[in-house]
Amino acid sequence: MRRKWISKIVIFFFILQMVIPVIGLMIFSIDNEGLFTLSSYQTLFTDPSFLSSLMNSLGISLVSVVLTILLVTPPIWYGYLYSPRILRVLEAMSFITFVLPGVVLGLAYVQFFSNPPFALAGTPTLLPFAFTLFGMPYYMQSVLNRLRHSEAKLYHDVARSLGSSNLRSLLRVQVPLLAPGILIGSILVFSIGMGEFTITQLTTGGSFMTLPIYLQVDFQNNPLAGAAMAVIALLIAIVLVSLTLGTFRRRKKRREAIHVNHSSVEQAV
Amino acid sequence: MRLGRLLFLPIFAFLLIFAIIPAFGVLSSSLTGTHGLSFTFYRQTFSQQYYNAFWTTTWLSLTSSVLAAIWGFVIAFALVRTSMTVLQRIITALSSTMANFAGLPLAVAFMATLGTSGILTLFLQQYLHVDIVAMGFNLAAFSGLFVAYLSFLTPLAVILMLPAVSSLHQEWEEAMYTLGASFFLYLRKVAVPVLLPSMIGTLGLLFANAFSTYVTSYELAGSSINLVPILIGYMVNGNVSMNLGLGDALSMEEMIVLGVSISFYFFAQRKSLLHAREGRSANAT
Amino acid sequence: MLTIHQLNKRFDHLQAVKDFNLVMQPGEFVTLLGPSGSGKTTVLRMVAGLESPTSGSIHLGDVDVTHLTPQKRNIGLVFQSYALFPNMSAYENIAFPLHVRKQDKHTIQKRVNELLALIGLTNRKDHLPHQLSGGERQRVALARALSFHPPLLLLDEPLSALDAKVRQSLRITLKEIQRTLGVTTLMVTHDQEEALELSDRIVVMAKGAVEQVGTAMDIYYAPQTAFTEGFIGETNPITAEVLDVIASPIGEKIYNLRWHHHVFSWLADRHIEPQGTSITIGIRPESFHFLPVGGHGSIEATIVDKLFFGSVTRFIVKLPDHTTVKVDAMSAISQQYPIGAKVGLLITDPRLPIGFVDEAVTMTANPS
Ligand SMILES: Nc1ncnc2c1ncn2[C@@H]1O[C@H](COP(=O)(O)OP(=O)(O)OP(=O)(O)O)[C@@H](O)[C@H]1O
Ligand SMILES: [Mg+2]
Repeated sequence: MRRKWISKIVIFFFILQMVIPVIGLMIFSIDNEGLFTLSSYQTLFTDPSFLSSLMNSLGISLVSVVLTILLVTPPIWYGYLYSPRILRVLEAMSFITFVLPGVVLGLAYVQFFSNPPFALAGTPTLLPFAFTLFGMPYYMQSVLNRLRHSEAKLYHDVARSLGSSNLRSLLRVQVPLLAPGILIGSILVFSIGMGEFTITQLTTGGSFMTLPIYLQVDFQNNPLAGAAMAVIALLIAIVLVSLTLGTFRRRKKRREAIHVNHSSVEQAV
Repeated sequence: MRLGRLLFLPIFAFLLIFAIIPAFGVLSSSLTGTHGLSFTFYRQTFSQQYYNAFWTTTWLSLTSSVLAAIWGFVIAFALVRTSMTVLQRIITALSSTMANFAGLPLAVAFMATLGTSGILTLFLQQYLHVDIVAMGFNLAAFSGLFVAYLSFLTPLAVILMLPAVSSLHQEWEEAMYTLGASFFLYLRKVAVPVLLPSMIGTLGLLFANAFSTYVTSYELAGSSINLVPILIGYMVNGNVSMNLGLGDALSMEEMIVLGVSISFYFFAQRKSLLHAREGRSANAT
Repeated sequence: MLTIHQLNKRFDHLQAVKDFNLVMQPGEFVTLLGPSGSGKTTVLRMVAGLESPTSGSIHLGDVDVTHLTPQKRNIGLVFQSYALFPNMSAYENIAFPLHVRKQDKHTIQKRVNELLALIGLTNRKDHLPHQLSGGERQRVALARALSFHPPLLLLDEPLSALDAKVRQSLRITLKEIQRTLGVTTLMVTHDQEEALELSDRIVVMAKGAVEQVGTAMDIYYAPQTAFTEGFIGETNPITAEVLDVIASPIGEKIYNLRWHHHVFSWLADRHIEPQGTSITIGIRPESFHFLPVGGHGSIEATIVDKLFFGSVTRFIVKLPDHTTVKVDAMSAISQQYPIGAKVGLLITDPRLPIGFVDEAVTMTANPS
């Protein structure tokens, strides 16, 4: 009556749909004309260009994360506690990236930032700003979710009613309270940074090698190594996202976990 | 307290400098010809090539997002009905990755799997004697992009639809049964009508997502298919001759399309009956 | 009408329902009463066909419905959360099962309007569920479950989501509708007052098993297990000596008991204890009565505390052996009994006809 087996078949096909390209890619990366090989991975980890592009990606992503935390956290926290109206405006504006996709933004940056004093096009300087912009809805929703679920306002009031100064409450109560939200939001911004291709290519003209840019070039020259790199990139992304969803965490109340995660993702997407 | 509002200053300045002003820059230069205000660029976008590009992009986005929305609805429905916690978590993580963060690697995975010398292509040829290339499947053409788009639109649809689907009360379905109705009548009379706003909203978002996809089509097809984002990208990359003004006009048109389809999403969210107070929430009143 | 035989339900490691038996007469109103998690809902869902039993059988009339789908059982079920379809108006919700049964337009219209009038919501028929109040939704859910003339109506905590006032008035409505239509009704509740007020018979459940079945009076005054006694209302356990067992005009066995020199009649329900032994019975606070000190063979007691509950007042009363009992009396007379006052205390069994009370009292008036 519940038709559970139909559900299972549906889910099986969905998993198949997501997993087939990944498995194909993995086989491709270890398949040397029918023979098993890990040479592509060896090549990769001895390839200085790969390592430098990996470092570039890590660096740019970290800068973006720091920028996002500094730029976005204080107004959200303040807005949630004291100015919900301005917060609402900010929330709505964070969705501007949905109508400003990578290509359009790239085109805009190339024109707008090509003349002194802002001759930034062609350098990686613009990237952290762009990644922050793309990551904003995700980051905002993670922190807001945390604010909503942790009764931040109540604790702020309690701390102050107990005689704590504003600053003390901020550092000793609010920051620890928000930390999980900040962490999840940061991982999401970091994931965006690690995977972004469009803006990077358009604003730097491919002169700045990040992981995706190098992957794109390398796959054409050396498909095996490129595939190995794609496997690594996918694994990084899956691990990062799993971290934000608490997939690895043990025994959390199921409904709650799923619900919270979905709603945060839903609001952010 | 007033002073606290200063915290908003940096972020609004940031949005202004890195989103709003550049967007207005695009608008103004799309309207600027050699002698001031001009619609030359827009006129150019109505030529055959660009008209075709809009048509192809729309058709590709529409077909793939409609299929993804329907398939995603079925999957979300199935997911809610199984009680396998671990599986649900893994699927959520996988979906979220594929939908939002896979981009280029996923495109590469498709080339490695379904390209002319892809693993699956060869497997089908050798073991099942199905030659998908001869059957007209081509990753660099509509058919290939359609399949590749589905691979990130479907998980996106699942993520978007799950909250709505899981807030369907099980009692509605059970009430249907005790009143004599079948599962399909439940779908037709309750589940689908109740979820319709959410489905339309999801469709809007999926369509916008597909319409603005650049990496996947760039990697898989490059210049061999005529899509709006690819054309805009080429204007910047200047592989041919830089024609920023035309790119700006195309961008404006794309932004209008995106704006319209995304407003479906926000509008539909307001309309949703699921958030109206009924059933279980009555306990709280 | 409904016959449930040796019904069992296991969820993985949990025995949710254990050897449940019940036979319902046509038109009867039976309530399943028990604490949270005692398996009431599970029984109801098995009767409705939403859950399949691990073992046992369910018959509706002569038909074995144990393995029928809910669609084929033709049973009305009202959910605790109402489960009104949110996209259909009150009218459409009520009409829905009739549409499913492919009745013609005219019949449907007539039936739905009739039901709307019965529940007093004719002027709200086009409202969507979220535009109705909790009590109104509840009535629509009731009408929907009744619209197709089901021979059996199941109610799962139908009033628990409502506030006290609405609950009170809906109880009356519910009872009236049930009586008017004469539909056999099985209701689940964990509200004992509700159960006592509405039911012809009550099934007390604990941990998936039946503790006791009986009329409201039986359950209230003659709880057969410690669980029932503790679950329903307050009792004062007392140990009394059996003086005598006599038969009432209708053949019931009646004890004459002695407790603190006070002799009273008590309906014997369990197996009869012989003369001269001691038995322990639970006395409800309102089964005690006050008399002037020394009156009619009563016990001399002292009032040590008073708690005002509204229409009744609870007295804590100290007995000669320094134990205390709880006594409820109408608040209207409580002024006569200040704290510290001495009173005469006696026990009457409210199930017994007046004559028996008098007889017992008369007996004690002339102590042997
Ligand atoms: N689908 C299920 N799967 C596993 N266990 C269940 C399921 N449904 C009920 N149970 C368990 O069976 C037991 C009885 O549940 P049931 O809902 O019948 O109790 P109840 O008497 O209706 O309680 P309440 O008054 O809280 O509604 C509970 O311990 C419950 O956790
Ligand atoms: Mg229950």
